Amino acid sequence: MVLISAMPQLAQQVGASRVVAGRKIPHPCGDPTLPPELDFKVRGEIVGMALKALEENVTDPKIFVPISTN
Amino acid sequence: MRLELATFPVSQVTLDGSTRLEGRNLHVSREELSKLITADVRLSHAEVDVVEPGESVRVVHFCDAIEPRIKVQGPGECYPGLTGSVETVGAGCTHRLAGVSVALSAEYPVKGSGVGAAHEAVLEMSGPGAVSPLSQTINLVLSVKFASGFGQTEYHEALRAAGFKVARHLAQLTLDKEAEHVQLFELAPASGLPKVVYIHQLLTHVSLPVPYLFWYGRAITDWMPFWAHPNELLDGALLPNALGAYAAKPSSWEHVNHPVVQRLYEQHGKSLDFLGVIVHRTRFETFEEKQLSANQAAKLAQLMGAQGAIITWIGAGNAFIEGMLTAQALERMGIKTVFMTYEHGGKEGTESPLMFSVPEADAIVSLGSLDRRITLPPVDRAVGDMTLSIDREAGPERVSASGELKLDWFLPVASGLDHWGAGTQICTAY
Amino acid sequence: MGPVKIVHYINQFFGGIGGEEKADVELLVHAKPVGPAIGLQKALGERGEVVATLVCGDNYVNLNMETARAQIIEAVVRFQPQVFVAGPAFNAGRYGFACGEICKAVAEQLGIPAVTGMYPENPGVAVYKSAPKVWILPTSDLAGSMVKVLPKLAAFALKLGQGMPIGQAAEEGYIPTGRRQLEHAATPGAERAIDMLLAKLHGEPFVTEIPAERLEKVPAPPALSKLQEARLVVITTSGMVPRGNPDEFKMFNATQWRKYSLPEHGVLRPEEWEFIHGGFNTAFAQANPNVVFPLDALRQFAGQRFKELYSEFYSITGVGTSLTMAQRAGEQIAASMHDDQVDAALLVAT
Repeated sequence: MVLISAMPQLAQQVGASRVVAGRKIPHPCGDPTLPPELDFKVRGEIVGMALKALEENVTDPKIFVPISTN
Repeated sequence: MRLELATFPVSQVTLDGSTRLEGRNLHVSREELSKLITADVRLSHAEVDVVEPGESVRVVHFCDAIEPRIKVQGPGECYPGLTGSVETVGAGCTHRLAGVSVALSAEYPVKGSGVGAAHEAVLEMSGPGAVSPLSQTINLVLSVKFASGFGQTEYHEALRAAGFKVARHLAQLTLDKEAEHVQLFELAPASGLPKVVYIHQLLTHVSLPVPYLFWYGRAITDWMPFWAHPNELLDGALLPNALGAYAAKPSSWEHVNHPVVQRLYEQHGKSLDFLGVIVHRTRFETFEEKQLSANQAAKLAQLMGAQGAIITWIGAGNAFIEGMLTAQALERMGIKTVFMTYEHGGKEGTESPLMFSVPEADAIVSLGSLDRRITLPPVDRAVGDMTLSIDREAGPERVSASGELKLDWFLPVASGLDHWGAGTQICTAY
Repeated sequence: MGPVKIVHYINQFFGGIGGEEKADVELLVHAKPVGPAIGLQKALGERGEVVATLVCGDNYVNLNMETARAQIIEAVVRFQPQVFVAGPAFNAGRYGFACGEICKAVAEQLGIPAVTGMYPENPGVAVYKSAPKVWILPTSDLAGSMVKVLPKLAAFALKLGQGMPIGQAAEEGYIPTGRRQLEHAATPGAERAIDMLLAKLHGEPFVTEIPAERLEKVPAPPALSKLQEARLVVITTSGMVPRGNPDEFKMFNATQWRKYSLPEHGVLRPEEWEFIHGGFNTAFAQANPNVVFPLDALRQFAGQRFKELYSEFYSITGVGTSLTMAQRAGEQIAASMHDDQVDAALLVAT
């Protein structure tokens, strides 16, 4: 399981093992203030990082920060 | 800042032929108030009722309660921002009618969704749900109907304006009279005593059509923590909206009769040096911003010389994070902190009392629980409507307003959450 | 009323049989006080009577729990006590478990209230502190403090036997059971806060009204070795439901979770969904559901990075959710995922 959260430190504190840093609480998987193509790109980076997290072994709760190609 | 608060206690409110104050007896003309209210075309109808402490009565669609206060001397006006004046308040002389409130009851046609929704709230005057300080005041209830053809923002503006207009009208009755007692509110130097700051965390939201909280009439959006003199709070500079005074939204009356501010003032010069108030809006939507606002609040406290701090907060899990982060930031600066909070604990009190905590939060005052069920017994009468829907999104089903209300938790009860410790609710370990 | 009748349970060591090497001894019943029960009797004076001492090996109890329990229950029944006392176990783990388990059984099966004593860190405390009608008094970890503990056990036992109500943990001196009761304090919260702060500022002792808690650690599941062959499912806490909210989700304090089908046409259209949630600004999600349920991005990766996205998703309104509800939902959803042969889950929080 991988968690996408705008509060990754909190998620880490309560023990979620794989946490991907999302954008903001009302829109964790995107940025609606950006033009649609960029918002979609941001979303792809977040989901892509989530998939990567599923493939990585972790011992302690870990935060994965999406890599922006901007 | 030197404020004289002149109190005119009211022990009886009588619906009568003319509006006047005779000693402790407030007479109110229904017709006069009704006309005053419906002068605004957005409000089609207004009923005026009186509910008293201990009475078997319930006010439904409870939107706000206002203590009649008026500034008679000094800059600005009470409840600034409602009339346009933005002069700094907190000095001079303010008259108040004590033991009474102007309570607003209205059901918004469009509930809204998410954090901008209007909430159903009930004010109990007796029984297990009578936990509000307003259960102990005589409340002059204005039950208002909205005229068709307007939007939520306009209805809200109209209702709120009506409430403050009536409150002012009543407060004006004190102008030619002498107060029963006058209290001086001044933060005179108190050397040698521990310096204490009050961190007043309040929930606000950004970009809502009807703002959640106002400072001098302006919507508090995603502001950083700022310094306030407690007298500004006493003169009503900080106010909620009137979309429903449910447990997570203290009424205007409670804002000016603030238990922590009152007690810190009482102790000022005796056991402590009350420095002032940090108004700290929550809740930010990213962790970095939450941490930033916590750091900034702690910085303000430190710059003002605080040695101790009391934190209160409003909201749920999201806002709670700021609370804990602020307590942590203060303690790490060496400022001793006490955190006041309600608990969770589930229905039986066997679950975790807090969502999470930080090791620095070692001094916590319990203010009761949100999670427990409460059954409000049937009442002899309900004011505001014959029926209500406690949870509009769960279904349009309505129940009798005066019947038994089985609630899953305290949220729809006015002041059901005692954010500021006015009451004695507590959870105890067994 | 006559003296309160008490049965006292102790282990092989305190029963004078022997140490670790005798931990396998089976139940021995003495119709009189033995070992610490003698001290207990002394502390009780005329107000209480230890009618029997039950002695059992720690290993015997822990390894033959059912048999030992049944035997002990039978013995207790024979003596008809009003109160059951066990230990104190101090910091001995197996003894603590035995005391806890037996107290729990006696209270549950016979309705007899029970009291024992343990060092707060004894693992038996965490497991048995919330057993109904069982109280654990805190002790030091040193058996030498027996002399201090027995009068406290005696006093508590008498209270139980006399049918007196047991008040809050701090006043009565037992380890909190984990149940917190909504009550009224003597003074308002604002006053107590200032008093607490002044004590803290002056370096005086104070007691926090809500003690800190430690969360259980869940070990991280191993990484997916073959993500390309995986079936992925999404859980959203945004309260995302089909338009019309057919299952009547509430804005706060969720009491249900649901599984909904993703649309055949593969796109999250705003007019087909709504968000029942009182804790965040749902406007963004309503305008473009992908920002809380990244379906468009997931569809891009499906078939390449992972095999397929499951055709259904899980939804719950995550605000003001009780911990119990959240745990139950988690277990049920996990079971459902298991049945659907899902390999991985993406939980998007709002």
